[in-house]
Amino acid sequence: MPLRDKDREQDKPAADLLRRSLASPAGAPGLDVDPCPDPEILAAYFERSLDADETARYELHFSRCARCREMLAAMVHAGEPAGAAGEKRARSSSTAWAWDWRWLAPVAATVIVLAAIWVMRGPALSHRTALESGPMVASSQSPEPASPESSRAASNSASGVPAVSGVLQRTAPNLDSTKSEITPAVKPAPPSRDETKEFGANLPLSGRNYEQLDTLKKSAVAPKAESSEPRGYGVGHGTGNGVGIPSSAETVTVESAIRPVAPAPPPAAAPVPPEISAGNVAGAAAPAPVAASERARNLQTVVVTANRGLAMSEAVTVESADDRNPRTVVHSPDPDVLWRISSGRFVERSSDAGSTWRVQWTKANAHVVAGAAPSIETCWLVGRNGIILLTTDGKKWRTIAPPADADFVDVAATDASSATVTTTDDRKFTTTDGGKRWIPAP
Amino acid sequence: MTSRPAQPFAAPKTGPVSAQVATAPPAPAAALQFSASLAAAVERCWLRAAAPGEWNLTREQFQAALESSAARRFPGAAAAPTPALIPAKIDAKKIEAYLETLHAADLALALACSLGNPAAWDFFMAEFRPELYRAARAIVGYAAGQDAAARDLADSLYADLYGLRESEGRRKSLFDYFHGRSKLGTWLRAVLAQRHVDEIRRARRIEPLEDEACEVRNEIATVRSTSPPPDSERANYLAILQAALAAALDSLDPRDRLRLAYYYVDDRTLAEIGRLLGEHEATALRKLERVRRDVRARVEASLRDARNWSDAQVRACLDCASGEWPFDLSVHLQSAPGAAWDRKPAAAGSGAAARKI
Repeated sequence: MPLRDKDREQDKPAADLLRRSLASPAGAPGLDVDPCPDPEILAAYFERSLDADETARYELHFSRCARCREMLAAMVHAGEPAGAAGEKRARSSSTAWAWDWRWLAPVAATVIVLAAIWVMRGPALSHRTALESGPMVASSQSPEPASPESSRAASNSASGVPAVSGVLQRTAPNLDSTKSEITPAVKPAPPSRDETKEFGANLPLSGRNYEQLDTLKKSAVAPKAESSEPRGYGVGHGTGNGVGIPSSAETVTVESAIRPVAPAPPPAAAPVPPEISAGNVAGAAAPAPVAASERARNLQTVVVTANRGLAMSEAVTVESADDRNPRTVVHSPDPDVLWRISSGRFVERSSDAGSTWRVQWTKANAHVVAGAAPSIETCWLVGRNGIILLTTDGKKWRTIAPPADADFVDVAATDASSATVTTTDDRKFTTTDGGKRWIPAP
Repeated sequence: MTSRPAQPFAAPKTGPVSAQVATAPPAPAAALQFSASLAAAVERCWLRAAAPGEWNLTREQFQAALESSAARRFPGAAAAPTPALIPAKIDAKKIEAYLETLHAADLALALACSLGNPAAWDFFMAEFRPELYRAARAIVGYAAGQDAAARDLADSLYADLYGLRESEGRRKSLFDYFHGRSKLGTWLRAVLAQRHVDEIRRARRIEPLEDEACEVRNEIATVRSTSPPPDSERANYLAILQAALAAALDSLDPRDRLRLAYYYVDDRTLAEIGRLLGEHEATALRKLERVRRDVRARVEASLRDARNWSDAQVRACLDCASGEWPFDLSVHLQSAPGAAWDRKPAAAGSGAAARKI
């Protein structure tokens, strides 16, 4: 509570007593007021350049001399910038409480605790944030107009009636258009409202619930009708805001939940880059028939095939419940320094052998699939759509002009100047000048 | 302090310095003369001063200014007839340490200006006139129409800085009162503040004093006429309380006493007090509360220990202060020169107290 309020409410008599005693010369009996010091002493006091004895001596004088106090106050005003004096005077009494350390102490402690929590959960939170916003982006790319069913489904989903709608509603409102295509064809037995609520309540609002993914796969129903227009890779093909891969993952989750699991095609039919298989969730937003097969080490690969004349197939690695956080780890010569690629979108660096990770900004829409770190500060990353990134200080990433407009799946580097990148069709390009010039490698 | 020009100064086209003034004799020798052991310290000060050659300042003149400064700081040393008789507590090390704290460059500029060197005056005007006007505007106020008053305040300083008055055949410049203990700019602000405050106080004495005095006297008479008959027990309590309070205030640290005066007498905000004492506003608040608790504790301890009062008696004594203050402070205010109600607004609290009587 500000002191002046206390004066008014509680301690006014004592304040008056002090005020009157201090103002009265009788308050200092036997002490004559010294002659006022020279302006030079005032100036030196103002600069806090008097020694301790002089300071005490003159402060005792100032406490009894209104003239000197006025001069000191005038000097304070003279030292302020134009117009600041009145403003500060008006503001000070109302903001004094804000700087009282007793008030700030608990707030500061709370902020520190929250910051510590944020630091500990920083990468996970950023990942989850991306996952939350992902479906919005994916659905916004959908060229399909919203059908009456979609509107109805949207309203249904708003009320949370069907189970699948619950999933879609949870991901993003715009996904209702996808759901509208799905719902009539699938026609699953509508669950009860209670089941829907429970279902939606148990699903995390962000991130992927892989136990339920498995459940959904097992209980998947008939394939949905084809959409009228093809879809691309979602945000991974350059129209999103850098958070498209999680949206693809969400889409895959939905697709696999509503379709029967078909026998997995041979691996050759859908070549899977090792980096992707190792842990990246690739984007595939097309609502197409899905076939999923279980791979080794609990990794489940879902092959998404667009079947509307879009000769596109995509191998998507979906993490199982036992391996929910797959990431491509790039090792440097120093075992303590690691890079990892989370969901192809987030690059993180650790300098303590993976105990802590710091997210690094690479490039919007960059979908990274592989990397090579020839030193602790140098790292090459390659990915789809001709993405080649290079850091030479371990912090800032710059984009290297690609030798071809292709998807890169591998990179090998010896230093910051020399590297060889490999495309999906196994073409190799080599640079010896940091990516300024590329030469096709044999 | 700003850097000194390396290039020779151009001769002033117009200026207050005449040739005679420019060759004015050096400042009179100070009463204190440095011993040889201080030669090194003086030399360091001279090097720190880095006075341009155009200022025509000699090392002897500068040493005389240092001696004058030290004489003001150590009056006991200055009073000694010979260096050997300087009191032991003012040894050479103290003086040397003092010399190290001086703003030698500003002292050299002030000395050169005091001697009327045109180049030094040019430098001073170029460096300090804008700051002087700005400080004057800040002191006088930024309200419309105050700019002229601020300029008058600043301009009035130049005549005294130059020294229109002469004493013993030598101009008396205001610069002679600068001894390098602070920055020259801060000193100029202090001089401006002093002039402004004195002018205000002079104007208060001349104009509103009669009316205000009559008003206060009338209020006092009214309060006296309407006050209940004096309670002897209460009067006794209050006298004891006043003595205890005065003793508690006198035993305070000077800075704490100044803090209380700023707050209770001058009615300044915590932010202003913080700036005046070089503290943060929150620190000022915290220390003010601590001092007030301390004063109250001292008063209560004094009443308990010195008079063997019980807690009930102490409370009863303190409760007496909740009523009207029975002391006629106007007597003290009128008898104290310079501390009467003309201290308004700095002593707004005291003025209010006087009116309540």
